[in-house]
Amino acid sequence: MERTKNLKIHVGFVLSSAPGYSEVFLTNTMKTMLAKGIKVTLFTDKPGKVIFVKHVAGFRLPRNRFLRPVKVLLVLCLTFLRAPLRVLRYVSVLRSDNRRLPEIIKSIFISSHILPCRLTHIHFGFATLGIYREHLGRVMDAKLSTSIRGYDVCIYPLVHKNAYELLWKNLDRLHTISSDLYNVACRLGLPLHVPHVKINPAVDVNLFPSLDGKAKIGSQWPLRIITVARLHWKKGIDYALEALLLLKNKGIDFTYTVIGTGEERERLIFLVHQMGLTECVEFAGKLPHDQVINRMGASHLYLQPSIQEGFCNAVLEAQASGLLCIVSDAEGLQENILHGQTGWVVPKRNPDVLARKILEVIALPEEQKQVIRRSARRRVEEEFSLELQAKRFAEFFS
Amino acid sequence: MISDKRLAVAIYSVAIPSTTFIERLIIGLANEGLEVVLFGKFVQPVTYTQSSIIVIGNRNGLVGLVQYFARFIKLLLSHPARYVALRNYLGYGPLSGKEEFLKWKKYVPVLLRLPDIFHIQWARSAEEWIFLKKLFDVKLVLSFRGTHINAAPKADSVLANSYRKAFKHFDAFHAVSYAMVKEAVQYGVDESKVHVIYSGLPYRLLPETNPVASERIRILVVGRFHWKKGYQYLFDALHKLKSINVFFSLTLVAQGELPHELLFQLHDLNLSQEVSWIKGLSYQEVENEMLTHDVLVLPSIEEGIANVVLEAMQLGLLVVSTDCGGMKEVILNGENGFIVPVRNPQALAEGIISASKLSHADRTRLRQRGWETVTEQFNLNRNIPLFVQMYEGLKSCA
Repeated sequence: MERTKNLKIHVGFVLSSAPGYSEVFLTNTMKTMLAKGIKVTLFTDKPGKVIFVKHVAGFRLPRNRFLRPVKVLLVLCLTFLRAPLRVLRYVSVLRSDNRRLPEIIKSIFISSHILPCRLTHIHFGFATLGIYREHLGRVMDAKLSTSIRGYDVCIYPLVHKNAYELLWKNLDRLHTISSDLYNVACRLGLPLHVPHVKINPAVDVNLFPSLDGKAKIGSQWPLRIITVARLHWKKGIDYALEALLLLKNKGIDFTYTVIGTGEERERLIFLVHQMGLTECVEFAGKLPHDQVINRMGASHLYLQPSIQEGFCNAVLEAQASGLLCIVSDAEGLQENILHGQTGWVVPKRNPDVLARKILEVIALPEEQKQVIRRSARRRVEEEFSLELQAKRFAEFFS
Repeated sequence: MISDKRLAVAIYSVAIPSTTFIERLIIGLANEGLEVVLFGKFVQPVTYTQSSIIVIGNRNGLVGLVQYFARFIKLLLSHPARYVALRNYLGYGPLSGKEEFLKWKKYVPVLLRLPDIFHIQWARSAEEWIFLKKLFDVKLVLSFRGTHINAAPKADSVLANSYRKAFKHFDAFHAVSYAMVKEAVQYGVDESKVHVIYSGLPYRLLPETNPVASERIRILVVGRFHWKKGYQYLFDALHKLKSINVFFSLTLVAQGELPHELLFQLHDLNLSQEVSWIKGLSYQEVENEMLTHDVLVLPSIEEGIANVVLEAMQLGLLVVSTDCGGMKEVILNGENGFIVPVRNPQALAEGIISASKLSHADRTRLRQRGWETVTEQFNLNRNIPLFVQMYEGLKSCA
């Protein structure tokens, strides 16, 4: 009965590109919605390969600046032919909102792949994607919702003040991955009356082996430390390296593996050289998920030293895999790890404190470590399961 | 190849015009009576008053294409043997592909006017010019400057290998500091071929005016936005100063947009009030800023020898620099400035406090010593003849 009801729902999920390696959360969200019988169409600005869901890519502007107006005109005509009433309605709404002609053209162009579709819900995977699309819900008779992510509320508004003023006004519902991000959005003017739902990221715990065979710290040296993160400044890996340098100076025998790649690779490798840590630090690059699970399984300690973090799927996976996790207090990480119960939370940008915490954790009696490991895994199973996420998303769009 | 006629030295720095350092070298060499030929790509129009500077740049677009074609025809008519020799050496001609076409675009002007000495300013370009030595017995000189030597090859093993292969063919090397020589020897450089020649500034008197006393420490930072400039550590240091109620203001002069990383950090550490950012300034304007600040900070992780520090010392502005690259060759801690360990916000903060707490007498002494250091060791009139000596030495070896 519930399934029949859900079939009427058709969610248009708007993203900038097909979800990639670091966006496990988005893929899981769509997959779980499909599993619940919700019809999902993925709209992306850039083309890309997506196999698990119907995918419509938007039109892109040609590089040649002389061809650009020609393409824009063609796309506008095409969109008008496919959905004449909606386009007229969209223009009328935008004009009543005092938008100038270039803004009207831009608004129609960037939503030209969405406008002709019949949707009951339009959901922006990132709030930034809702900019210039604020009126889509009204024009398409669909509920408008957005997820807010770390970049959306913590970084983008620093450059673009009041970027979400119009979006906030037109939202029917908001999804946040952590309470902290919601509070940040409120400080950015999100009206309190907009219903918001917190749905945390989730992991499939079954992919991770049980804790019984988990390597014990002290039984095998060196201490194996791991982080799974893009090599991006906001992940704060440089601060982790500083902390590890302090450990090395104290004579601790360790290896540190960072899985992931990114624009800061040169910087981080340079730091490792300068610190004299080349023997202990490995940048393993981007690895397939099964190998990530294996590497996590073979490690003792997980670090997430982020400067800015929405929630962090990798930390959930680390907990599922029975790793002792030490994370920074950046935004959602404080909700991801319960300090002292499922891991430890330390102030960000502070290598001294991080190093001290690592020393404290490795010195804990094995029984205490096992208590933390088990609580972490249990909490992930109970509170961050795919089933729970699917159920909440189904409710979100009902 | 080398005759008794005026020595012709080609300077290849990829872009025309080049950086301040290299432009000073070009003009200085011309004033010493050498014929200086500039190869590279025009990024801006450039004029020199010295008739012995010959600019043979490549242009972009249609004009560049016509110019390329004309030069190529000229090469075939005037020096067909050179064309055949290089074609056989490379194994491809200009029409073998897009990349090959562009490479020949660089090579043709040089083949047309083979210099006695080809001085490459950036190590990344070293390997592709080896043919000049092998086929045409042109003497090759390479400068060791900045990231090309001390950072990039550490994260890029392909680049490091290309250095090892290329460097053995060079006749001489110029290093901007002794620290840079240590870096370069890792790639198989014969130390006996290296000439350490510091960058030089034109002579000027120490300005008499001391900055007007202020309640807050006025800190100046000048440099592009790049991770190796270490602004992240400086902001962490400022946060420490603020937390102990030290009043300060910081002016950051840099080209380009403030990167998200720094913008976020300023906001995160609540430093937006204290830090102002000026989007690039002319040389004269930077000088004016130097005269109205109390201290210049160089928080870099790596440098050759930072030009901006020399300029500040020449103007009597106190400098707090990290101990990176060759900075210790310029600054003697407490004698002519302050030097602190790299990547250490606490030490940087203490350095800034030390500079601000100097007595009038000590401040005057440090200003005078700083000016003397630059005048004695980093004097353009003294250092340009060292380049000429290096070139003459190669001539006598021929």
